[in-house]
Amino acid sequence: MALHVYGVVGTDARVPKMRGVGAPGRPLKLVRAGALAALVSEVSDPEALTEQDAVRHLEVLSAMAARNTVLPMRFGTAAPDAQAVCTEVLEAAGPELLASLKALDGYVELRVHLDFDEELALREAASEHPELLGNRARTHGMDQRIRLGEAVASVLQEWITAAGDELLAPAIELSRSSIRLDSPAQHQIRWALLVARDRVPEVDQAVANARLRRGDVEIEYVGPLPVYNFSLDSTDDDGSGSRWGW
Amino acid sequence: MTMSQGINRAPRPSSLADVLEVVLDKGIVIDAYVRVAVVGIELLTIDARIVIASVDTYLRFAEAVNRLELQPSEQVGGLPGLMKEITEGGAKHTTKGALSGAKESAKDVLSSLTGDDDDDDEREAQPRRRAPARRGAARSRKPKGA
Repeated sequence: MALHVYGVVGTDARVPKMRGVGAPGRPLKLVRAGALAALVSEVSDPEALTEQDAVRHLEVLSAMAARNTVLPMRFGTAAPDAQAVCTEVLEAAGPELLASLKALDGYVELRVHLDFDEELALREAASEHPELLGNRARTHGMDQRIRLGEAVASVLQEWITAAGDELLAPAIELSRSSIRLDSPAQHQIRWALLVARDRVPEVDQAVANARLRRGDVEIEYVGPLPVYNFSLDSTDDDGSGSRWGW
Repeated sequence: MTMSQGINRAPRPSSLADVLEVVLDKGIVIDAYVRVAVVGIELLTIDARIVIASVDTYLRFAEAVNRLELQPSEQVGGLPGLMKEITEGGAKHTTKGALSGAKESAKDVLSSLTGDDDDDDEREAQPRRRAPARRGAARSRKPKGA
């Protein structure tokens, strides 16, 4: 049967007792080669992936990341059998995989998504920029309104970004590295944090405090995740923040 | 070391769109030439995700900031309890995440509370709406190896 591949771990990884992707999902297994192992599960049709499978895929990785360092595989990667996994995944990229596992050992990725109330944010941003007010009489034309709107959009963006930075400063301080990700909308800010596993409780506290400081911002806090947004090599002290993949 | 899961932190994002954003287009890719052993699957569920601030957005921002003037900050300070109600009333009538061209402004809500406005019953509370799953600026980084 074909194998859906979730990611690469060390050969001594502890595998949670949960089912993988597919309906029905099958048990998680390790395919080992030397010091490395690939986390897999059998699937009857590797190409029939659903959105629910994407959710399950991430749940599996998250459960693994709670106990092990995991290098996540591109979602949708499958192999015909265990031998292919060994040859084409573990042995083919063995040295690089080992080096990355070593560099990321003990780290997890956390995600923080901030969702600002656009109306309240606009109110606060505008109060800091009184020049934007009092334009009512002068903005009858479409052109003028567009220009005013553009100025407002820019001020709003700055304000939200700064407010997000300030809210998350303590959490970012606790992280080895951090990166602000693209966000789907102007009133949302998304951060990925690279955090040492044993510091996660402190980051939990920092996020809990942030929730209390601003009740008008919705905070979604996710983790542990395998490291998607950071790559470190053994010589890199501060984390390069670049994306993963070769 | 085990990590306890607080109520604070979830193992995965709550929305499907966010889960997909985490797992799609990221992670290790096996080089294309090894295709015989690895089946890569292209998921086209999410299209190019470029947010373009449209003219429509700018017009709404202009309107919104002009409406702000109808509630000068001096009034906010004077009546804290009443202003709290007004703010909540205002929030109820707008759709979060999309400044609608709603007629409701703080002034309108104030009128309704003092009985000057008879159109109160027609208004429906708008449910809070999350922004659609669109991404920010196009990604400039691409994984190597396809």
